[in-house]
Amino acid sequence: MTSLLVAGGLDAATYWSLAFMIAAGLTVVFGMLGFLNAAHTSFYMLAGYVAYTVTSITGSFWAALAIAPVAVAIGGLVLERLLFRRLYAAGHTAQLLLTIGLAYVIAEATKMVWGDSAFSIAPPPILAGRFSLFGATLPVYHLFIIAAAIVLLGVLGLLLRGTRLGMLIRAAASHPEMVGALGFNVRNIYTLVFMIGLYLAAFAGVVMAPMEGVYPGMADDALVQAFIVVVAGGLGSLPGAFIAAGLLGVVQGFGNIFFSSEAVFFPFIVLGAVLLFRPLGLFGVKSA
Amino acid sequence: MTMYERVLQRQILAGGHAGRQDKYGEAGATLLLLGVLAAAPLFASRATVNDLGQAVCLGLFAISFNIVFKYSGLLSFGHAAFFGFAAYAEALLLQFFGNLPIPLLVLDAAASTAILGLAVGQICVRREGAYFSMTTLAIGAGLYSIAFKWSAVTGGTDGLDGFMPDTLTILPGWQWDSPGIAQTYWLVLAILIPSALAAWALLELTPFGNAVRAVRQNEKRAKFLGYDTHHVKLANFTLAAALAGIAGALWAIDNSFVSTDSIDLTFSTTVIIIAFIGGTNWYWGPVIGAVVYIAASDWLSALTPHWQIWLGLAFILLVLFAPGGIAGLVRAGWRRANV
Repeated sequence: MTSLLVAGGLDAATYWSLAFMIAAGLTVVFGMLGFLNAAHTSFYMLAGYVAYTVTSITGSFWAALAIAPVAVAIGGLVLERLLFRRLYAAGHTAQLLLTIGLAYVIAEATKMVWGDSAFSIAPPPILAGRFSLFGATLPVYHLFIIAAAIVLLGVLGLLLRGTRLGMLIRAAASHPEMVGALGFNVRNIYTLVFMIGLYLAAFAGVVMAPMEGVYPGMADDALVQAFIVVVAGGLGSLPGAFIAAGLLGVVQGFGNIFFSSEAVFFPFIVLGAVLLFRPLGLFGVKSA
Repeated sequence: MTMYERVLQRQILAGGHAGRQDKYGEAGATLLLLGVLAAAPLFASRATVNDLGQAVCLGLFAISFNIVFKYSGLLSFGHAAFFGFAAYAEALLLQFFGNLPIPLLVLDAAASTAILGLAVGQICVRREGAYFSMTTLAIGAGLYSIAFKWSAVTGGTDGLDGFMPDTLTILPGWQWDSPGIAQTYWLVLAILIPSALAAWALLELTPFGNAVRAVRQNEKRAKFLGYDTHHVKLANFTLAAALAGIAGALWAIDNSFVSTDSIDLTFSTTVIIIAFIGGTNWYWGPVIGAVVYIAASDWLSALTPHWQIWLGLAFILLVLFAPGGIAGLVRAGWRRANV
């Protein structure tokens, strides 16, 4: 029993970490820029595939983790300048429609380059294998996922709350005209926030890849999960996304161990329960 | 109303409200469209009629999506849930009650879908904008995973086939033995067109339709006038679900095959693309979108296996530069010719 609980606990923490990493970028971009990106997880998928290629060329997972998210964020810079920038004031309908079109393009382009098949990426040797804890044998890589999420959360919190740049970003999100009048280039700040959001998605894609591999449907799977986290947490709220990802992680982690295949329904039940008691999500505010 | 919606309205209306000339133009276009669709088996090849059968089912499905979008201003991102649910329901009904009249079975599937729509709407319709879209996507994904996992009933990834009886009962005492493509197509149209017309009449000619449109134009004002705006939107959502149910049921009859393809997330986004290609501001616009979509997928998929990249790019350009879709472009041309 102890071993099952330990295994479930570690799985829960792993799913929590993954769900939060995927949803974090979506939440930041929505909360700061008011931009709803239905292609968010398409960048997550793209990063996974890029990581596969980089790993097979260099033989190093760490090279992929360094290169792929940056490459995707730079691609996002180009798209932001060409496309997304026109839509900040256009409302969520236009944003959804355009990013749906973009998700189609990215999904198909990915298939053109990498084909329809799924690939697995080997974790780096130091993180491969399993360890024992209270009679449960668990993959070492899961510990890395959890650590990565904690580091990411810390860096993101420090950046937004503890630095001058973060102060500027928050100011530009709430009072763009005032920040512009003070002589800052608000457009560039917006571009930066967008790139941070895509970097987070891409980082999650690379970190996830050794666990479940990369496959053509991964963008859709992650989008559903990210939307559940963001809606249950309250649109645009980072603490909300963190808590909601935790709820999801717990029901998925323990659900997989104690219920096996029915566990796929648990996230939807969590979402329904949250919306029943808090229609705006856990941390939602009326104006969102 | 956001900036984009204003641009959308301006492009679609191209100045002023619909005049009498527009009404005649719309009625004429409707008659032409429905007439061509109904007469198609007389002049078109078997392959074309087969494609058109799929296109009209998709078209009704896209009309259903657009009833929520155009008349309630809500973008449903999980609409395939209703279509797919009805397709499975119809397949099972045909399997177990195949000797009952087809219209009754379609009605049954549509009624069950309407009940599902009422339940889903109860959760989603309270919210607007992004929240509505994201919640519908999540619920749609939940229903998809049920279809995917509950393979004892739905056949899982293999789907369901072989449920069509050899002899179709059209009405009590009127049976068809192994009907041909044209016969099935006409059967589909004979149920589809009256359903779509009835929903149109309900929304455009009745006090219920007035209420729906009043809530869409200004929800606060409608509330002050005493409308129960939540229930008005919920009723409209349920109507749309019923129509998607008819579309899904007819799809099962026309295709004699149902799989998770008709309930997954991709299908939910495909219907959005179809509706906007055809044009969301004309009731029948989504049908044009469906015909164009099927034709394009046939034509482009012969040229390249990656035709959907072109679909996606075309859709992005359309949303940016012609948000009124094909119907909007035709209407703008018609206006220019009549000035």
